[in-house]
Order: sequence, then structure tokens, then C-alpha cells
Amino acid sequence: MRYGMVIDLKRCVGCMACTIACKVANGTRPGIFWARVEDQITGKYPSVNRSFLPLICMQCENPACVDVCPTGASYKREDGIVLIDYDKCMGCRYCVIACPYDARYFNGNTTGYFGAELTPYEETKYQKHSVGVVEKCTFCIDRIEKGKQPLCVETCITKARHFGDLDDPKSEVSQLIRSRHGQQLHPEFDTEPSVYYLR
Amino acid sequence: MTMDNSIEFTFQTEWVEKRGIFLVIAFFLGGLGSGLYLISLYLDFYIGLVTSFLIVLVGKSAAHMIYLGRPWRFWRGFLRPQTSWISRGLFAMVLFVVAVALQLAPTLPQFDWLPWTAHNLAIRILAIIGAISLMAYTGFALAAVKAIRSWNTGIMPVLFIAYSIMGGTGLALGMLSGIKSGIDLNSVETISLYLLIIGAVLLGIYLWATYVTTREGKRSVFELIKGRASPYFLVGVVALGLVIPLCVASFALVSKVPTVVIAVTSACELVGGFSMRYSILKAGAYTPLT
Repeated sequence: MRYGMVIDLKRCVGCMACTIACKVANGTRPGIFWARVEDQITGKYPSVNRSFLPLICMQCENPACVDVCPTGASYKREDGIVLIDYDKCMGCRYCVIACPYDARYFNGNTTGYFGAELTPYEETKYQKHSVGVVEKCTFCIDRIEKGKQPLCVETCITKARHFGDLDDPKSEVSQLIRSRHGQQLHPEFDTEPSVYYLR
Repeated sequence: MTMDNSIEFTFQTEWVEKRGIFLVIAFFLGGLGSGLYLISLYLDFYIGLVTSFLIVLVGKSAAHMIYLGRPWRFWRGFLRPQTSWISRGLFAMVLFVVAVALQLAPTLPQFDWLPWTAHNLAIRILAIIGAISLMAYTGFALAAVKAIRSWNTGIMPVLFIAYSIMGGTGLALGMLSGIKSGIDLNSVETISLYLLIIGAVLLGIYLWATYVTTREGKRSVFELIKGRASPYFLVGVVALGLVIPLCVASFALVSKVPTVVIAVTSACELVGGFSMRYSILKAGAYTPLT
């Protein structure tokens, strides 16, 4: 079993619903985006192209973040999901630096979206997050364990995201990767991401 | 030097901005302290040995503790030496501090009963290993980051070792200019001159190799020469850290240099050492996500 995600870039319209859904579900502080969408413009007028690149933690098979972590706070589960033990992290941010996908965030902020005084929603949500440690996307681990899909997958209005078992050749994600030549981001870093893109 | 501005690079900020500046300070003080130790050991300069010990024990430790998000969990940093250079660096720091403490302890009247002396060879060797490890680990920690091409190079540890010894020698010169120690200042100036030349050559090799290898490396060098890190690099590293000390050290070969000039040059070298680390960290560019 190895969880993975396939993101169809031809379907992504850059609505940012995944980003908002992730924010709502995980209640991360300002400046921290476990799921984000890069708005990319290439070319020169009149031949200009606009594209969107949804980004989350790539849940790498060979995660650079786990190797560099001096405390053992970053670890990889048997199902391929890379997690951070907030009780072990000392906040050195070596993993933030080492991640080629800019997927990790240092939570050094004690304020909310409206300043130091937190809303009831923020007070509830921020209890899950420790200040002074690093955090990142967990593939919605609590939802997966209940048999659900990650919220960004469920929320996507164009069904650009697919989630499943990469080790199962019959799974939707495996079939999509095979039939449409799914690509990983920066394979040259030998991190073997579990997130594939269809272009 | 021109850049293709159609590619949007992102730069690392965690290890240089906000509280990240304390990590740069910690890297600098680690190199400075261990470099000062080696040159002081060579010159038999007791005050230098004590100062190097204090720089690492107090300065570097304090900077690390201020930087960490959860400082009281620092002990957890010892748990992964098999894969993490930060862990290895912590061990190097402990080895250095313990070995130098053991070396210096018999020189204090309260500890004159200890069965070894400050010249104990085994303790000195341990301290030297600790010092060299302390100089090198920062370079290895950066070189291990594949995501930042300008750091991911084998020359990084060599550059950091060279700058550590350079900085330590510069500080030793400054200290010696202010006290009567019986150590010949001109001989230290000569050592400093050779080290500065080695440092300049290594820096040149680093810049050239980084510039020609990858587009990210090219961008990082551009940032150092013309971009956001250029004030620190050109003024701090090149002018204050290399040109002025080289001129003074060269002049010292043919004529006596006033002690005040040596002291100012020493300060310039320290600024250069700090700026080298700061600007290289600041110019670290990631491969764009496309």
C-alpha cells in the first residue's frame, strides 16, 4: 500500500477551492498553505500561456526532509505518508530548506487572520498546531483513516485530483499514470514523489 | 552577466531572514571559534584558546538556542547523526567544547590537581578533530541540500573550513595587536596573507563552478554579484573581507603596520567571514516548480 495522488493539469482551472478547503479543514495560520496553486504565466505577448500548478506535500518515497531531520520528528509511514511529530520537532527548519517542493512551513506565528485576538474558529483549529515547529500537508490522514478521500480531492470542482493506492495496478491513480504518462515534479532529485501530474 | 528574467526563482529565507539571522550568526561563530582555536594552538596563544572556547560555548550555543523554534528540545538534535548534518554538527560542537575544556582546565588553579596537563597530546588531538569537524559541518549541511544547486557542491565544506581558519587568524591578529604576548605579529600576518589568497581562490572557484553548472547556480551567482545579496557580497566579502586584509597583509611583508591598522583589518576580516555565510545563504535559489 502506497498512497498517492494524480493531478490533471488540463482540468485545473485555478479556482483555489482546494486551497480554501484545506484551510477550512486544517485551520492553518496566516501564511501557511498546505495546499496551494501556483499561477504561472509563460511566453511573451502575443503568445502567452497561463497555467496552474496545484502543490501539496509530495509524500516522497525517498523524502529529503526525513533524511535531514536531526530529531526524528519527520518520518514516513508504511503507507508512504510522510508526517511530522510535533512533540519531537525542535524547529531547526532544515527540512523546510531541504524540501525541493516548498511544501513545508515553519509555524512561528501566534496571531490569527485578524490579529492577536483569535476568532472562536481559530481558537479551536489552532489547538491542533504547535507554535515553533514545522508543519505540512498530511494527505488528510484523519480522513483517510475513516475511509474518506483528502478534502482537496473531494472539493475539486473539475475532478482534476484523484487519490488512491499507487501499489495497486488496478487503482484509478495507477491506471491514469500509465495511460496518460503521469509525471513527477523534479524526478532528478531522486525523491520519488507520490504525487503525479497529467499534462 | 545577464539573466533570463522569464524564469521565476524562489530563494530560501528560513535560514537568513527574521530569526534565521541567528543561524547565520551561529554558523559564523562556530567557524570563528574553531578557526581561532587552531591558530591559537599553533601560536601557543593561551588567550586565543580561552576565547575560542567561549565563542563556541557561549556565542554559538546562544545563537542556536535563540534561533530554534523549540529551544528546550535541542537535545533531540543528537538523535539522528546517521543521516543529519545538524546532528553531526551538535556532536562536533560537544566534542570541541569538552576537549578544549579538558585541555584548559589544568591551567586554572582550582583544577591543578588534574592528572594531565594542557599539553596532553590525546586531548589536543580530540580538540583538533572537534575543531575541524565544527568548521566543516556547516559546509556539509549546506552541500547536502540537493534542492539548492548553489549549495549542493563539494567545494562548500572546503570553503567553510578555509573561511573558518581565515576568520580565526584575523581575530587572533586583532587580539595580538592589543596585547603583549611575545608572538611575532609579522609571522601571523604572513600566515594570514597565505590564508587570504587561498580563501580568495576557493571563492573564485566556487563562483565559477556554480555559475557554469546549472541555471539555478547561475542565478545564485547573479544574486551575489548584481542582485539582492550583492551589497553584502561585494562590500562585505570582497572589499572588507578580502581586498583590505590582502593589501594590509602584503604591506606587512615589506614594512611595519601600525597596530591600529591591524585591529581594523581584523574587524574587516570578521565582517568578511560573516558576510560570506550570509550572502551564500541569502542567494540560495530553488529549482522553479514548473
